[in-house]
Amino acid sequence: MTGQHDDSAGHAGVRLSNVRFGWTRHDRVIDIEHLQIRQGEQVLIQGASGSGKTTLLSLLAGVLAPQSGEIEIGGTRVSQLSGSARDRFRADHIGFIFQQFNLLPYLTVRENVLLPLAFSRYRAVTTASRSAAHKQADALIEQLGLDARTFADRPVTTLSIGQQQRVAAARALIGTPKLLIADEPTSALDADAREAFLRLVFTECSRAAITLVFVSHDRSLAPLFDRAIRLADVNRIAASAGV
Amino acid sequence: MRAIPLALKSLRNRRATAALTIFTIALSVALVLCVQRVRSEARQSFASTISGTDLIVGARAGPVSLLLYAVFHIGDATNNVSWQSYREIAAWPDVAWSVPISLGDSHRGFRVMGTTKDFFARYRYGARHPLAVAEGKPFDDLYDAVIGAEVAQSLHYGVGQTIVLSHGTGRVAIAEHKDKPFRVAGILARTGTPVDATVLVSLEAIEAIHVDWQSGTRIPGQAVSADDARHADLTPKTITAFLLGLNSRIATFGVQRDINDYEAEPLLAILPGITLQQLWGMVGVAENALLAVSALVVLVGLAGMVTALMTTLGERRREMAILRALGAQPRLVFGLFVLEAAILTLAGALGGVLLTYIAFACARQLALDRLGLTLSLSWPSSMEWEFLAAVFVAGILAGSIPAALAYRRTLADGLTVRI
Repeated sequence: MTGQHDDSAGHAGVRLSNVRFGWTRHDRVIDIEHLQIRQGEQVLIQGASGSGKTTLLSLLAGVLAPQSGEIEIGGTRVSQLSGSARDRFRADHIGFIFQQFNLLPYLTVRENVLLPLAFSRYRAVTTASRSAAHKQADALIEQLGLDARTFADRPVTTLSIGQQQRVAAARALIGTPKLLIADEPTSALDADAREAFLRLVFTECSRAAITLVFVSHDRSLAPLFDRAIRLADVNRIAASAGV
Repeated sequence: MRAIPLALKSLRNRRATAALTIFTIALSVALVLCVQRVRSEARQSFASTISGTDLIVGARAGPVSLLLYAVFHIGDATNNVSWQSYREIAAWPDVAWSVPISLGDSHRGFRVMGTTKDFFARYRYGARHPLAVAEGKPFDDLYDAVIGAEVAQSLHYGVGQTIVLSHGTGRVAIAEHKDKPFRVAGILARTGTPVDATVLVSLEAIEAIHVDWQSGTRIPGQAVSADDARHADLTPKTITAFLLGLNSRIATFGVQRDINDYEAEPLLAILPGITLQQLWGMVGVAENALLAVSALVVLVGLAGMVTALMTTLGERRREMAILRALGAQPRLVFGLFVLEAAILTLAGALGGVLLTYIAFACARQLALDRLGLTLSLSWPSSMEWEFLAAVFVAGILAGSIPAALAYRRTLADGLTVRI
């Protein structure tokens, strides 16, 4: 097994060092000295609500920039980039799944899955052509356990919540991003659906060596992941805040 | 590019409100277009109430007042023109033709105009249209009358109808010329000019019914029967005004000056076209106000659109967060809203043009019959295109208000969605 120091010098995975962020100067939410996730690693970040989970994800996704410190994703120092460059980086390399209501209600299942390609030339290139993109979208829909022929052209509003989350996963995975960020995507699912969903996501991430950062308050999910990190252990603010 | 199908699909998802917004804008745009077209049409038709006449001559008064009583039959002349002066001026070498008119009597609220048969041949309106007799024929007999289309329609008169003229021009007759009834000999086709609301009789007939009158009242004990009046001297002593046609239009100003300097009697000659324009200049204030009000209605329509877009802001926070998560830049969110406003205004403006054409096609016959207005279905003029472009630009500017709000919210919300 390689040591952590080898990774920090490399260009894969996710690395945070001395990252600080607060909405105001006196109200700091995130203070992470060091956090390292290897390329292809599937990590659960577990924390109670209010512990700064969503803020951390926004920092990782590049929607927010840290006040100080460095965030590196797949070898790129994201924290150094301008706002619109971070947006481009997110479009190219990061897939994102929300807790719920991930899909645009006025698009069909396939249109939703194909949406990231509209924002990223990089991801669009990996799918070569329109018909190839269609094929890839349908394949992903199939791999996530939905029959593409019945579902692809349906409006997303006709899908169950579990089905919608799978479509959201397919959308996050299209064009093979480096990093998949999931913000409690299973919280609205029952236990059986939750496991099934997770297995599908794991399989897809492993297949393309996509790094998975999965945030949840649910401790019971920990055994399913390569590694589980308690946010309170890495975030000094959450630690000092107690609980 | 990618934003357009997104905006279109998003709008389709809210098609009920979108359709209503488009309809509101279309209505307001149509209102302006209709007002504008009717206005220019009305101006044109007004300016050509009388055409082909070079000068109108009456007793000295204001030019507009002469035009009003001689052509529009509004108000009364303060003085008359002597028959002698009229004969003299009519014989001037530059004068090609002349038509005397004599006003002062009425029939059930409609003005009676005494004139000669030449009136039918010389009076022109619009693009030099002559008067046309729709039914019957111009007057032959002393007691024949020809009525305008409006008179025939509102009083339900046909050819052969017997009518009695009233002395004076009030709607309620003070004294009637009951002893000398007239027969409707002809009905004129509609012109959209004051002629429609006029009863035309011969100049001699005006004299005949006043044979036994003096200074506005009947001379007691001196009744002259209708038939006896035929044998009296029916040459008028005075007339109200007369129309002049000249041999050469170049002579117009010279003749006008000569008439205004006429020594035997204070007279005034006006060029009908110029005075009509002066008159329209006064009426034009109201017309501009109407246009201004309809322009305000467009503002109201656009404000409605802004409101409609604003109300979607809340429910679309989720949509914006999703787009942000997919890597959309905040300016795309701004662009989406502006684009939606642009699509709505564009559709509204084109819908307004369509509504205008539909309204005009439906009202065309009615406007022609009732008002003598030709509503043209012509392709939008450059001025109308400019107006439509202005609406479009205003729509985009208005759309940038909700767009800016959405932009700010998107920046603040990031990937979290507060509902």
